[in-house]
Amino acid sequence: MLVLSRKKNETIMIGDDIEITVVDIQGDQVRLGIRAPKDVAVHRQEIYRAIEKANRQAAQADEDGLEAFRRIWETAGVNGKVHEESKRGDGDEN
Amino acid sequence: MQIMSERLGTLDIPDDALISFPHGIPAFETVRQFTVVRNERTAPFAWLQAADRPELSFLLLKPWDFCGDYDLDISDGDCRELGLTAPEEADIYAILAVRTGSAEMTANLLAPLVINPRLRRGMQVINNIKGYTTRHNVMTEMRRSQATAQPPLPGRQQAQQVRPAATAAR
Repeated sequence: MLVLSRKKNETIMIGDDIEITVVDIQGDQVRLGIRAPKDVAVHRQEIYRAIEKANRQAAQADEDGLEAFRRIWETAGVNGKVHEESKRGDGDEN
Repeated sequence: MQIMSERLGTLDIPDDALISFPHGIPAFETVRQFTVVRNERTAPFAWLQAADRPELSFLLLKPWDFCGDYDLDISDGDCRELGLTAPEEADIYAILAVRTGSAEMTANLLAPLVINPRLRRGMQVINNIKGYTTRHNVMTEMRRSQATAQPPLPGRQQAQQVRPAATAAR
């Protein structure tokens, strides 16, 4: 892990084509400017972590939980009340 | 081609039903090929099945199936990566999680799956509209949005709700 101290307007380069600039510092908040190729995703870590966690949980969906939910969904009378939008593009239904 | 799925059995799918996910999805970044499985019996639910990992599948719903007033703002960069030129081109799904041992089902409305069926490319993107989380209770959302929303207009409503950041009026 590398620790660098930067002042406002100073920049760090990561690899050849990622730049991080300290745009502003106000109190305990730092505003960072990021230039990266468009195929490099840049995320706030806590958001990316939350998505990872949700995906891992989703991958573990078990049959009992799904079955229980399906029953509730059906008794709620939702089956058949599918909006038009959700049918678009579903060429392989029917 | 045949795809093995632990959950769904052996799937016979045409080669053009394979969707490439150039970045996988968070926590599964190395899984790059998926297919979306739908059938009448379980509609409107669908499954995202990994082509090379039989044990990996995700339950899906289109957000508007349970959240009638869902707004989606996909960044320009994500639109470009997906090759999307118009909102109507995109197939959009929310990944669902079911808590083991309970009937609670939650949907990730913060980061939906966006698929370009024409180019057979997909990504999990971050919705730039604030206020969504990775865990919305599906039944609660449904009751809430049915209680307040007008019946949706077919087609047009979804087209209005999906807009690249550059043209979004904010």
